[in-house]
Amino acid sequence: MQLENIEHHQDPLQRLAKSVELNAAERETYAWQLDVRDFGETGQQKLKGASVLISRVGGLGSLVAYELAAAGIGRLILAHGGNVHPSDLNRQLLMTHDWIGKPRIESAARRLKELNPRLEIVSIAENITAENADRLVEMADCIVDAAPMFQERLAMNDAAEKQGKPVIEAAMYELEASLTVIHPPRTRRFRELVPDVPQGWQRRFPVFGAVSGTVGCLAAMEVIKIVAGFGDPLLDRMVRIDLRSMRFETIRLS
Amino acid sequence: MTNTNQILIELTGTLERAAGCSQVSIPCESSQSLGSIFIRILDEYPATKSVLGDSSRYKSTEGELPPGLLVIRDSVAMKARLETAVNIGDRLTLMPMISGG
Repeated sequence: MQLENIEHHQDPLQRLAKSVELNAAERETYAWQLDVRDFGETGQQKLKGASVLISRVGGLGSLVAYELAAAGIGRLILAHGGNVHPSDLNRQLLMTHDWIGKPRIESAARRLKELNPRLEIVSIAENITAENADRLVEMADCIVDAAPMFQERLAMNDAAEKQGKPVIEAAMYELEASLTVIHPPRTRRFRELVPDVPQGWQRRFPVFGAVSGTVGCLAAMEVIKIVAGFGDPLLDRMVRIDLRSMRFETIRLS
Repeated sequence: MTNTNQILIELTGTLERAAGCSQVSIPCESSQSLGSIFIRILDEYPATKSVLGDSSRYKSTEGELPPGLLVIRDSVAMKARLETAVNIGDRLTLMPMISGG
């Protein structure tokens, strides 16, 4: 009796992602990941054709950007205001000591270009607000939310929901992290989880770079799966991570 | 000896930090509403007011949870309200959504 493949894959971006042919240099650069099952050259072409908006390239977003740049995403739209501070350097891996006092967004773009000179970067020296969210979301196929303030996350999700675009929601606090994909109506709306700014959240939060970096890498993988259309993204599921006890739990949100 | 007449509550994130512990046990003889559980946590750990708000908001038997607070039972985020019953022996996680980047 023949075995049957019963895997089902979710590909919410199939209708949005456009494919772009690879050249010989790109085939060589990405050779090892082209061997990944269900990805291959078709997936790589979709990464090359995709635009991803990352809201803040701090401790978490910097790792998302770095992994996506390494993986061969075509265009990154980076939104992050302000200058590099000494206290950024324990986690914001796209910032460097010699850039203290200069714009964070310039440091991030410079470091990403060192890794992947083919990458197109749109640098926005602003954080997300209700005023600019629609415009920035419009530029992207997929969004990564790595902002430290709930006001930014709410504005970003409101705009993405209006435009029907998926948002990878990644967050951390101390040794904990959470990750989910918001893409209504296939998933619950972000405002169903967070109707308003929660009480008790403060701008300064306890953080090791290894924690924000862990969830940043996982968020980058969700982007790759969604854009390339393989695997099972965290639609209506949330991974809750506790690095103090090394416990990973997947929670159903529906 | 294990007390079976209890409800176990795991606290995470900002709630864990405010309480200063990651797990609390609520001794009880019958099922409890979520609202009454919040009141007992606030009585025992007053600093959790910074996340849960004032206990007066839970005196009413009905109402919404604080914004951004997930109540998780058996790895499912419940669509819970203050009047939602929690049974003896249940184990819940109270998870305030976090936003650190």
